[in-house]
Amino acid sequence: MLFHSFPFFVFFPITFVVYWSLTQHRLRMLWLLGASFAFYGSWNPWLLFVVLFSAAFDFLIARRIEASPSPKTRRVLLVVSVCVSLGILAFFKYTNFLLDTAVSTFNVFGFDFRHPAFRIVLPLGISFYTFETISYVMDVYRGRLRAERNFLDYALFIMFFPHLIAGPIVRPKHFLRQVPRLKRFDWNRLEFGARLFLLGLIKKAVIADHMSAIADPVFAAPSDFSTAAVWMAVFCYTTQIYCDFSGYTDMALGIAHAFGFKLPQNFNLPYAACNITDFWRRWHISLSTWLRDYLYIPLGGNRYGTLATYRNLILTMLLGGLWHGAAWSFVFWGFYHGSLLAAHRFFSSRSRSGEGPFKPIRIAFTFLCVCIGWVLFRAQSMTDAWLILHRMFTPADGQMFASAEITIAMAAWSAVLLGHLVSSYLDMHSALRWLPAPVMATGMAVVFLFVQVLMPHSGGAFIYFQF
Amino acid sequence: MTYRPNSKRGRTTVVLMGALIFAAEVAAGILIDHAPMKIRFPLLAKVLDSVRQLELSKKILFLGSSRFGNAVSAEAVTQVLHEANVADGYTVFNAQIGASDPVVMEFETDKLLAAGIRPSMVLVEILPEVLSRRNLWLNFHLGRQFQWPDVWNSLPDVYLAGTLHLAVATRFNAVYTFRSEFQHWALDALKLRFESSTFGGENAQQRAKRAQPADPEVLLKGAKYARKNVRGYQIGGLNARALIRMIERYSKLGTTIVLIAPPVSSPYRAAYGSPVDAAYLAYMHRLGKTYGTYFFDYRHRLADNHFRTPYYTTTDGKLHFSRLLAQEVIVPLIAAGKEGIRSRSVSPSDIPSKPTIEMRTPPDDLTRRGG
Repeated sequence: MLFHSFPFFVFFPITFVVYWSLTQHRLRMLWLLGASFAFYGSWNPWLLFVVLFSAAFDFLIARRIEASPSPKTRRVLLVVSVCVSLGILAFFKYTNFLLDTAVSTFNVFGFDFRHPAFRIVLPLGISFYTFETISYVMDVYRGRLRAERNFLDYALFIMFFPHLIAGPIVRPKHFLRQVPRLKRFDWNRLEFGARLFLLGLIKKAVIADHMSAIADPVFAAPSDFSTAAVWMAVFCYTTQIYCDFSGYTDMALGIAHAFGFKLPQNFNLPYAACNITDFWRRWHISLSTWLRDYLYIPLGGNRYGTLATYRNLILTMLLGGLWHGAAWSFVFWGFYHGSLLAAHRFFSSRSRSGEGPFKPIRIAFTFLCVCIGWVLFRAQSMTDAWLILHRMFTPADGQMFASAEITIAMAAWSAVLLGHLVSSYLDMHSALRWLPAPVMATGMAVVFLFVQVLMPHSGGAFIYFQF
Repeated sequence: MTYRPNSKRGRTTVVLMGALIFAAEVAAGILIDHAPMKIRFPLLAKVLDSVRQLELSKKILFLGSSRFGNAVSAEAVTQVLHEANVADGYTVFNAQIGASDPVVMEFETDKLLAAGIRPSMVLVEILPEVLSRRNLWLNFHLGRQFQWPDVWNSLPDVYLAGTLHLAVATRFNAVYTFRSEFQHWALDALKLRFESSTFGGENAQQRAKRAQPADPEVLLKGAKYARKNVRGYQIGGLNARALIRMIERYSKLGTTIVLIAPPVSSPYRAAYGSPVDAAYLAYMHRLGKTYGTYFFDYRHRLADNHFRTPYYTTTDGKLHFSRLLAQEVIVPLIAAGKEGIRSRSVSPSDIPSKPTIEMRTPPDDLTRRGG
């Protein structure tokens, strides 16, 4: 059930109306949990057991950790919890990848190994909720959070349907304290949520899905296309992935507001970043901060010298890349970004940074580096990625897009650029609060209708659903 | 100036926005009913344009779905007419429309007649499933030609076909449901033309695929589809009524009406089962008796190696069937018409393997001149 699909437009009003019709807070939370089960179960009800097992196991472990006076026991429990969580993730996501890699390695040495391809269904959102359960147990272990006593509240933290499938990766401390708080219906908050949802809908359905139709043929057969077409496809994918993922997040945030919950911000104009470190402060913020807090800092962060810092950066990003998908291209993408972060750290310590006349050039250069990274991220194999990069930088003949695609791409790029520019200087949400209600309502209705008209026929799932 | 949250403003915005969206959706549902044919039903518009451009001659039209589209070659039929020396003055045209059934054919007939086109002979594709009370193509009708009154009048059928949600969507979420149509309409009105990239299109590989027979497993899978289509089979509903109305209209014009069951693969055919077959054949017989229509059952006439899917013929199968149909049905009918035979009715039981035209005297009130 996608946020921008007809079933969701039936599911949401029912959930919303019943939720606010219930007078007791506990019943509301229970209803929301039930709705989240229905939402997730609409894909594959059997996979609910995986989420529930993961949630229940870590819930119990966290309580044991808190109750245990022995640091050694606490540490053992933490290790068991992390191993089980990562084990489940590894089984569902990496079994075939690990077997492929092992077999290929053996075959390099002259063995003739083969293995059957296991048909393992990847539970939706497993990477996201695994990170959430790990952060919960670690926070309890570190004493930053009290273990939750109510399993239903904890289950809602994991299962809350707006963030369940593709984030943002919610921190337990941030969400769990919202659950017992009595919710009051607030029209202004609903309006704000509707605005966020609408913004997400524009990004996803109007921009990302159209960009996908342009980028996909090139990434499917890069050798058929000219250098110009390949550049255009790379820019289209760069636009698509931003609008797709941030669009999902905006919708998730908007829906959460409708139920009186606040989810963390996940994007902050990432393509306006003036260096790669800045980019990672603006892109998928909930993941980058998670990686920082639960991987980079435990690895030692920047506390053990320059070389160790570079190693930690590269290792963190490499694992972050692997988190995205079970393929070498994701590992290389992570390595590429880790290397860029290390390089930036190296050069920034030797040069002046910040505002200045060269800022647009720095932004453009960062953008270009990010675009090259997306080639690794999107290509179907490393061979394809290399071919695309080769065609980008070596003039080549081939097919080119027609006027319709070029017009659509230009319009989408302009919209994203304008959005970045305006939002850099103006808080749009605050500005819109001053508009009279009839103007605001008409504007939102017109935009919603236009969005519907401009939605392509082949609108697909969100990119991050596969992770 | 400090911003003060105002609950009334929020409420007005949300409620007014909801009301405006609802009103616009309903208005769009009414607007789409007045869209030009080329916007809402471009396939039919294309067929009508093509038929209008045919020479002023006696027309033999094939009315059917993509099955006729795959199985009938107008060129092959014309060639057989030439070989039999009966082609003089006749133009053969395959007016098939994808996802078509008698409801669409009746609609097409209305448009053809309104455009002043009077075919001499129509060959109508009829398989058992299209006569089912549970209409399998309603989802297409709701999108392509149904207007508010049609939706209202066909509500029981819409419910039975499990397309109630779609009916609601076409009327109350019309902006989204008909977004492609509105896009084309707007571009047309603004006279904007954008050339789209066509990296697809039919290539040599796809053409070869069309010529290639299907694997037996693929044909077997088709049986499942056929069984599903005739589940709880009962003749009636929108399609049966539309078929009769269409026959009556053509009958009044003196058009020869030939009902054809096109070839299907053997697993598909077997999946119908005896009760469905019996009901279907009896109904065809009754139509013949009542309205003087011909019926020819070609379901078993092509071997399985002539199918690329359970019910789509290969290129060879298409030529083979077209020639068979022309030789065994169209040529004799034209010849019979020339000889002045005035009445016709064929009992399905009389055409077990090879269809031959058997003339019987129908009730006097239904007697009329043949094509």
